[in-house]
Amino acid sequence: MASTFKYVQGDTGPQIKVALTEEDSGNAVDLSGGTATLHFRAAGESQVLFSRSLYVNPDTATNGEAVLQWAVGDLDQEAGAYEGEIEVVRSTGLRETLYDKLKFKIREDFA
Amino acid sequence: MKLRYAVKIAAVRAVYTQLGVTTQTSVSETAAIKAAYTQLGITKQTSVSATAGIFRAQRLGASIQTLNRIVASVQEGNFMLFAALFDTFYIRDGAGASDAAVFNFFKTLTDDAGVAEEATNSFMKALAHTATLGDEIDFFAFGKSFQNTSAVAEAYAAHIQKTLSDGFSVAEDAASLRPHKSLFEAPAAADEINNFGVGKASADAPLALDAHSVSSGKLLTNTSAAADEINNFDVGKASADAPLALDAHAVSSSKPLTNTSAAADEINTFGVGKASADAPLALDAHAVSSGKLLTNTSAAADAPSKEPGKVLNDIVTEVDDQTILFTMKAPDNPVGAVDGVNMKGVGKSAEDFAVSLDQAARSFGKDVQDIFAAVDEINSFSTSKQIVDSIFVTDDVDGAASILDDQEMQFVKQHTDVVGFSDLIHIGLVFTREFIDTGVSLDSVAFAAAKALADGYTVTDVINVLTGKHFSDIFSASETLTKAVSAARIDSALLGDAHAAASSKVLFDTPLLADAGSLRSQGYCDFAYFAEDYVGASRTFT
Repeated sequence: MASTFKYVQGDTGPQIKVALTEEDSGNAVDLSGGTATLHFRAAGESQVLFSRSLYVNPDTATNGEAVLQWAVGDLDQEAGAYEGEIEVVRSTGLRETLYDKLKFKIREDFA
Repeated sequence: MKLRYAVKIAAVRAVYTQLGVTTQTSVSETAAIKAAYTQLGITKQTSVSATAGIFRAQRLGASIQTLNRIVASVQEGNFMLFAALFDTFYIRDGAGASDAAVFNFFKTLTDDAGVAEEATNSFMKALAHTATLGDEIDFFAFGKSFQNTSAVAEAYAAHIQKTLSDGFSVAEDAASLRPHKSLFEAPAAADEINNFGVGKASADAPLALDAHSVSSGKLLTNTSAAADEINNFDVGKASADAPLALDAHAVSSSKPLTNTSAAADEINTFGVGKASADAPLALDAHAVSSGKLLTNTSAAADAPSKEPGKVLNDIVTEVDDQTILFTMKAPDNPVGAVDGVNMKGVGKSAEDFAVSLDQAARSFGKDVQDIFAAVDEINSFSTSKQIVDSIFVTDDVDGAASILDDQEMQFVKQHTDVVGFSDLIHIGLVFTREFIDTGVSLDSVAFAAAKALADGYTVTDVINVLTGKHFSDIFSASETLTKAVSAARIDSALLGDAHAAASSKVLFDTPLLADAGSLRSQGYCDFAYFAEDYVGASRTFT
């Protein structure tokens, strides 16, 4: 997993693609009918600033890939460190949250 | 503590041994260990340390795993172009509404196209209607240009005559003639209409006649005639206009019959590309009239099926009907109007408009004749002016005077000239108008005649009905006329029905002939008394 994703305030890209696999078998997680969501918060804080659903292509949902497209304002945060949590809800309703967190760093933009 | 541990270690070891657990535990073994702990009553935290001691003492190792966790590899980049669109795309997938919308658009377009076609059809029809008007106008325009010149020629002739008589006031005469001419010019326009005949100089004269006859026929065949004109125009064949004029002639000659036929022809031409609905309209008219005739004959067909005798009776009833019609027609020969009503009954409202056109045609034909009459009158007047010239004799009286007398003589002539002009003008005007009016009445007469002819044709139809109705046939000759126009085909159909009925009757007769039985020509004793014929004879027949 990448160490830290760096963004500038107000950015809406680049995107982040998450490839989910089963730890045991290494098989891709079938996201058909499921969802993947990023919960974003400031590092060291408990308040979730926003939650953003990842796009799962229904045609390739079995590949376990989900793409996060930042929405306008998502990264319009104060400069600092942030972290994200990927939460997967399978079609069966089983909720699994990745233990490892995504790390983000945002700096102020010039203009 | 050691003893306690030892006991428990022994217990755990025993459990492990029983379970076959040796060194490294597996995931499944973990459950077994938990079960062993439960069995041993080790549930508290202290037991954990005890377990650790056991593991250490026994040199046991264990690894605990979380089953089938999800791991993720994360990449940064632009994996989806136009994510927003993709989002939308997702929505599309779910709804498919967008695609459907697209298709709908196409469909709507195609629908519109269909509408367009219909629209074109309607346009064609509309055009056909207007076209008729336009064509007529065109015809007028064409004919007028030519005829105008001809009218001018007449005007010239009038002038010549006047100049000869007046000798002097040629200019004045011209002025006085002009008013006449202006009046004639209007009729000349009518003449032009006759010329429509499509610019056929030679055909102009016949056109005038045709116009009269046509108008008459139109009363009966208002619908059909109108359709013909419209159809011709629809064709949009400028060159075809001439043939149309020819058709008009033919129609006029035998209006009832030709009208229907002409309508069919024109319809065919229209069918070439234009609104197919136009043809059907004409066909409908025919079908309607024919359909009625069929119903009458159908009753006859039923009669044969019942039995021969009944058939005859039925026929008689029909004959009665026909006779009734005859009675009606006899007085109603002019009532051809009634026939015309039938034709209208076909339901051609559009053809009613044609009627107005027919009226126009009447005016045209009349105008032509009026013009000629006017010219003649003028000529006669001019001769009277010559008499006025004799007035110069008064000059002799002046001859006794000096040169100044010559001037006086001139004055005298002027007076005489004026008189001659006034007479000519008034007379000419009156006559021309009167002729025009009478011309209208003549046209109406012509119509009646045309109808009578048409009736004669329908006689053939009656023959079809026939087969035994000789009496009625004669009568129906006049009546069927109008019906005949559209019923001619239908009548043939009726003949077919009659044949069918006859065939069925024959079949019934045949079985009746198939009799069987025995003949005994012996009453001498019981027939069974002898083994075979002894006296007399017997036979069987079939």
